[in-house]
Amino acid sequence: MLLPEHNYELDYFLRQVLLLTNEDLIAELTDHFSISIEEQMSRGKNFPMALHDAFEAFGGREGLQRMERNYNTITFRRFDGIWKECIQLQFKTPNLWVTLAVYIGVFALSLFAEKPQGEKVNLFFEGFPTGLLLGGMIVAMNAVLPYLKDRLFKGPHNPQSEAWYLFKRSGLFLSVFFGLGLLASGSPFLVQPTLIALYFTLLFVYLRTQGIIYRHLYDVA
Amino acid sequence: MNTNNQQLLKGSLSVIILKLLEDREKMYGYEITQKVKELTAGDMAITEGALYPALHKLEAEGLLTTETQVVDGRVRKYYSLTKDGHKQAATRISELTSFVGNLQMLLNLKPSF
Repeated sequence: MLLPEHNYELDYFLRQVLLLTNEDLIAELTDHFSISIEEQMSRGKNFPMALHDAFEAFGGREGLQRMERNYNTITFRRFDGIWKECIQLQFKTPNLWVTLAVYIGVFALSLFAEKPQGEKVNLFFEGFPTGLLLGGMIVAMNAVLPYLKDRLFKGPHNPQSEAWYLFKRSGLFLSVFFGLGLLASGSPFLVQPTLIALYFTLLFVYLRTQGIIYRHLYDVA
Repeated sequence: MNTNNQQLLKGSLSVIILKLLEDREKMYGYEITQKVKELTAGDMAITEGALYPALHKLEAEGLLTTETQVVDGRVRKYYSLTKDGHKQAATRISELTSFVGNLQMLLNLKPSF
């Protein structure tokens, strides 16, 4: 058995020196490194040497970074499964009633607010998706800048797995919203309220499920 | 183990993993490296840098499934074959066996000219 200080050093090495962030992979590597180090220490090696040898067998830092990049596809697929389940729940009772209420509410509002649709409505629906996209980009930059700074000082390494996942998926969702918003703004009367209602319902479902996913990824109670 | 052997082993690594898991139901990464060493009396050694990407690839392909257990206070990840993995194992093992058989025949043949 490794001593607590060895466990601490190993964890520090994986996270702070090798800059790995995928928790599933870190857990698997911690187990592998621990057994390998224990075995080598039982044959007379000291901890730093045993750690070094175990690390070299993985192809060094570059090899482990590459492994993490590939492993992220498995992790992201698991996250996708959770997110998909959350979205499906929004279309099942009792959540379905809330989703339907949003759709019907927005549809009725956009149908009766101004008919036929006027310049103001078009301007709003051209502006809203653009604003949402720009807002999303500002939030994303807020997350990207610390990573770029970190990369400058600590060398090339993968972005934090959970953040990278949210960044990629949110980018995809925001692009879809942007496209749908633009489509709605130029649509003829009666098609427009349908698209606007769809836009806001999807946005509602996205925001609702994104919060659940965020709490799941970061273990926020 | 020399570089040529390493190259040959790399090409058949996924089949070796599938075969080991077919025989033993579930195994973890370190156990696989030790089993290969033990079965080949130390003649072959799988490097961790090759083993884990291969395991993860097979998992991504849906041929392996995983479960975790806490052992000595650490999380240990066990790999086992899925239903599809069992089918693929049989196919790939038979393909490799036939390939090795043909190779053996070719290498044992003396040129007739």
